[in-house]
Amino acid sequence: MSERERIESYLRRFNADEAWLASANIFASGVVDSMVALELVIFLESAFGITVEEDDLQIENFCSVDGMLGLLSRKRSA
Amino acid sequence: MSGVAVDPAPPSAYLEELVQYCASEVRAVAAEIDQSGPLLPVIEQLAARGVLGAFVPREDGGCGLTMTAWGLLNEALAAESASLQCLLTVHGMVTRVVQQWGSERVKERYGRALVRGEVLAAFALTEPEAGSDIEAITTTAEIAGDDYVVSGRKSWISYGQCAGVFLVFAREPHGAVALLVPRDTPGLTVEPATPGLSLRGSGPAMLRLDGCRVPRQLAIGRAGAGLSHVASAALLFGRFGVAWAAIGVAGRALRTAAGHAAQRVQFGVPIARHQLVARLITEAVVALEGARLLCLRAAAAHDERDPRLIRDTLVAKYAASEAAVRVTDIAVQILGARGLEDGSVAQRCFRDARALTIIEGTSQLLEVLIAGSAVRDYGA
Repeated sequence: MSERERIESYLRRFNADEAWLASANIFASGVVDSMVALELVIFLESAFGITVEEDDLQIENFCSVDGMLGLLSRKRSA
Repeated sequence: MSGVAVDPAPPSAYLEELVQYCASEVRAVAAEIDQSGPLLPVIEQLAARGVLGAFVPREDGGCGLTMTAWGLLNEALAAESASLQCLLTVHGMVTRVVQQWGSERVKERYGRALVRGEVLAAFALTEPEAGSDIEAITTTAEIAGDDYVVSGRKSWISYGQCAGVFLVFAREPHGAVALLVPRDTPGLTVEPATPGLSLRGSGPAMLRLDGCRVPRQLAIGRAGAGLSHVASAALLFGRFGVAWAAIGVAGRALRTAAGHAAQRVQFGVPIARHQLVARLITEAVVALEGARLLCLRAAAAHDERDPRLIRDTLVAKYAASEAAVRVTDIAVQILGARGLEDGSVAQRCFRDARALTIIEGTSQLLEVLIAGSAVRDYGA
């Protein structure tokens, strides 16, 4: 399973709607509550072995699948 | 779903020593803390034993306790003094996010000092008009060069009377920011609040921030992430501690009541043998032990860094705090007039338990969050 597929699979727990999964900001629709933002941090850390640090705490890194993939890419190249 | 350790790993010698310390030294001063407020010598003893930062990894100066061990420690301390355990909650909430998302500058200034308890920290989120609805905070942080200028009000800040630094949440142009505000910042006024029914020894205070200039370098996390990540992570840690505190309070009340029921003779037999009293004891046992298992499950999820730790912590906090209210109510009922007396352990447990369904997330807020999670877990 690719990283994109793993992230999408996890997000489907919250909402299986494909348009939501592809949206630029999954928090904008109100589908997920505030605790999900933190849960995504823990998911990315545990599933991909990264550490989310202070500078990574930007909404752009968590509000879309592409944003999360970009974070993973940057963490690995750092 | 996380595995549940019904019998967690045998406690370390360090944890055993702390549990013994609580049962002797803290027990001896618990009534005084309840009546008079925080006792700094006792807090200094806790700090000297490494308790305040015991959950922090050894490489960062802590004792490296697992979250399961941290939970058991909170349980043991709350069993003697829920007011004193409240310090572990609020100080730990700030210490946790400083360790997790503090800049090198912040860690340099506060990291080890918080772990060692050289500086006490308090969590300043609640405002007169912003309780459960944390998005409603109106405290502002205006950018002025390298500083923020912070203005607003914060309410019912536990251990505010003792804290040397406050984690203050405020609005700034990019969203919410979490900012460490030293107590000696000009413009910060700390006013002791009158203790209420519960946690009377937790030194509550009201904060007034009038144009406090705070270096922007003392922000935790990026601006915009103050509520979504920093407050959420701190509250998660706090809810975990409150859940275990509830188990400690309920356990102490039940032990007190069961001991009394075994000794108190009415109608020629110990009252524990009266069926209606036996029913009360049974209800308390089941509530307490069921909630404790949920706390152990949450602790296991924390130790495994399983993303379900958030959901499991919400469930544990809800179950344990509600159980504490019921169990302490039962304890007072079984003790009768003795349970109503000033200075009785059951009365203090009863009063303290009442706060635990409110602080760090009311039961009603948790019901909304848990139900939302349940729709995903059970409704799919």
